[in-house]
Amino acid sequence: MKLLGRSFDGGRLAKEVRARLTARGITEDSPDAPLDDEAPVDPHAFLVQALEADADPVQAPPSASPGLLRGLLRFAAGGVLEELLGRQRAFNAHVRDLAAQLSAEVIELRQRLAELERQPGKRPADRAERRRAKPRRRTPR
Amino acid sequence: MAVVHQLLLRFRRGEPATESAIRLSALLRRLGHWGELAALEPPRSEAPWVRSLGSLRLRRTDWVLGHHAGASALTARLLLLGCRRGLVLDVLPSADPGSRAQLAGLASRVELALAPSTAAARALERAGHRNVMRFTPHVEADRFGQDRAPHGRPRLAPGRPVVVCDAGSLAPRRPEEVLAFHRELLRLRPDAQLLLLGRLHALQGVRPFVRQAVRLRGLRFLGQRAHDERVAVLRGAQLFLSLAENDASGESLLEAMAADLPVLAFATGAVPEALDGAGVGFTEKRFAFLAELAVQLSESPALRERVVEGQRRRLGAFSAERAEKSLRVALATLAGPTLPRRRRRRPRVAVLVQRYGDVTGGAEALARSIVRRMSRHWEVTVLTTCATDHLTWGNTLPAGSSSVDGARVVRFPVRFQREMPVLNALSRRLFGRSLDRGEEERWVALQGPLVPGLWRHLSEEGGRYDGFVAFTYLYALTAWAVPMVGARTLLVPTAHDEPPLAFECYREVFERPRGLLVSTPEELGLVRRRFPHHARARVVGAGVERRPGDPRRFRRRHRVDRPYLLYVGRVEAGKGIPELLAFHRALWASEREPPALVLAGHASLRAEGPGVHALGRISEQDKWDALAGATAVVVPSPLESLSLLALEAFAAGVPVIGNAHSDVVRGQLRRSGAGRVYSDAATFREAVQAVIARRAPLARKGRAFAAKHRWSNVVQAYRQEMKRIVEEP
Repeated sequence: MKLLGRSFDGGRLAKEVRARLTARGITEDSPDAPLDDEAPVDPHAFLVQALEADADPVQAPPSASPGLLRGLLRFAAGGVLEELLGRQRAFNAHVRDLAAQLSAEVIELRQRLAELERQPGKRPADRAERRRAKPRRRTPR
Repeated sequence: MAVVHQLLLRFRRGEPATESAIRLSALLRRLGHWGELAALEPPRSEAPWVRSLGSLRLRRTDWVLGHHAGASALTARLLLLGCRRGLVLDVLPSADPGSRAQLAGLASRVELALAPSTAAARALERAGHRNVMRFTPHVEADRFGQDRAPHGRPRLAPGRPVVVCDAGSLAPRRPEEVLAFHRELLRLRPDAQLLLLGRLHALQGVRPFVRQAVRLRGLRFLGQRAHDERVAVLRGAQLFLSLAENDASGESLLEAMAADLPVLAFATGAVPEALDGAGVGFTEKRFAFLAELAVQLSESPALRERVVEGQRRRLGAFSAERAEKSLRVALATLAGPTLPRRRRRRPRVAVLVQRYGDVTGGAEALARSIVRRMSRHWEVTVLTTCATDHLTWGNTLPAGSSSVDGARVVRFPVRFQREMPVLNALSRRLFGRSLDRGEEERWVALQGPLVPGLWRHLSEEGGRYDGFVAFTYLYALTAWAVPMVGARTLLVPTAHDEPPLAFECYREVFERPRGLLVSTPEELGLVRRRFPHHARARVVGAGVERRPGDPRRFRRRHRVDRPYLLYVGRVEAGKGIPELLAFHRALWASEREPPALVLAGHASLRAEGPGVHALGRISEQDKWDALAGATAVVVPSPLESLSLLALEAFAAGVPVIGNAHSDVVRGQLRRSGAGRVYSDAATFREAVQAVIARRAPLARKGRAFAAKHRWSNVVQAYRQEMKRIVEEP
């Protein structure tokens, strides 16, 4: 444990605190688990995985509410819940299909762009240059 | 300058994105950018200040800065906007892959990413953003002074160690850490208190946390508090603890530092940069250790004093001026080209005023008189609203360009009609309290008039004007326009000693213009007391030109057959009319031949009583006819910056009876010696008797005083001040 600050001697202050802890019979508790790594996330891959994971609303993540309460709720409002979940399933399917179509189009467009860039004569920039090079039509006097 | 709107997922006070957007909007105005606050889920209570995204009329050249504070639907909406897009990172995405994915998805689709710290800038660069600009967060430290805390609210037990923790800064996935800290603290000091200030908005699994928390003694959830109570908590505690792991700006620490509360903070994210050696940073969350340290910081006065002193020094780096400077650099690409300003024979000047034309109102009448006279010397354009009624701001006149007295007038529609009961209820709640910027700006928005078209015009076309003259500090039109064009502006504040003048948000309205043209020495004194660092000020006021009047014509037309007291102006409660009616009724009952009371002007209340003539609006000539025959003129308003009516009465040789509660009217009467003041029914009666008995000498003194108030002096003063702006931009 390091103490940061310029208004005091961090080393000395930490030593004083540790001495008091030792006097109480406490050795320093173990440090926390490190935070998640912050590696870059590819938004496409992440979204596809997330959609897969959460596609079915019936398979919800573990709930914090007591099982008895959930059971009672299911018993009392089962019909309504089923209807809502059915609607949710349909919605999720639309989202998944939309994402899949868009992803496919993005991949296709990326491929076509890469192909175009490989052919020097057909680069969009070159076409623009050719258009600029055309002689201008004279305006009538 | 580009128009820059800000977009939030939801507008909720206390959340980092909302607070950041409020602070940024003030800074953007200071840089000349107009823009609105919009949210995907705008609360009804914040209308009309905060708009829904759908109601914004975006142009392709407008910018929208989306506030990213975690994975949300905001990203998708931002991607689909057909305008220029930017991003502000308010919460670090460290432990949230969804947030990181959205940030990466935005990287190639926003043109600009704003980071309030180096840690935020690094997170944006890691996500693939290229144009990342760093800006300095800021805190308005004056708002956290000891004088800003109400006495005894909320009640904190004296003599017990009190630790405050910002609930919004708890680590979202590990909120129970703060409970572990408190358990350790209770072992050392069983009477210790832990106060959780703010909403538990960002927590996952709030319920289990609350279940554990309520079992602990000495832990209090304070929730989202009004600003003054927040200051009281920070000022009354011994220590501010931050366990945040995704703080992108360190702004909550800055608030504690501004309240002279020692800060103990987990040194991650933006925290080390915000503290930079101030406060106490720690690198590991070992709670037994931290509890011992908290006790030492709370109970060792010498250590505490050194830490607070270091924090005070550090706060200097987070002033609004520093923040403005850094944002100016960050947004340099949004400034656009400087519009050409040709050197003209006559300077091109825009007059900003809330209403213009045939409307009743002192400031509006002064603005019209100034425009009529300055049009000979300046190329004047009046920028105003379509409203004629200041109580509703209803759009009664057509929008667009027109001509009044030969001057060009451009009218912009008002977006929101004022609802007086709503404004009055909010005023009752806020006046007399210490507020934060958000609370004040919400009041200003409800006060109105909201004229987005006018502000857009200033943002996009303001560079074409050589200078501005803005009338009345109080209204939103001026309060938000003056910071945008401050250095080229002369403000005619028409300030009264009224509760909103205590609002800190008006500070920039008085400090940023090039000059203040006040009406009386009393108004200057008031401005000096309230804003000691105000812009250069000059007492100018107004001139008066007497028109000949025919009293018989007035009596005939309005069937007034006895001596009368005259009032000309808005007939409404704020002008002291109900008291005047009551005092006149008492006079009528006690005197044998009491004078009648003539009230002329637009009425928003029923003015009735024995001997009362309520005429409604009258013409200018009718007014001079009425003045010529009046026994005395009454100025009943307790809030005046200059009584034009009193000046006109003096010019017509009529004594004045004025409300003693108005410093300005009292000052005008003292300097002129041409009238009497009243404060109740008895003194009103005495004043009426005195002016009847000494009418001739009082009239002479009044004429002599009015002769000093020439329009030629006023015009000269306006020309000199504008020349200074044009020649030394």
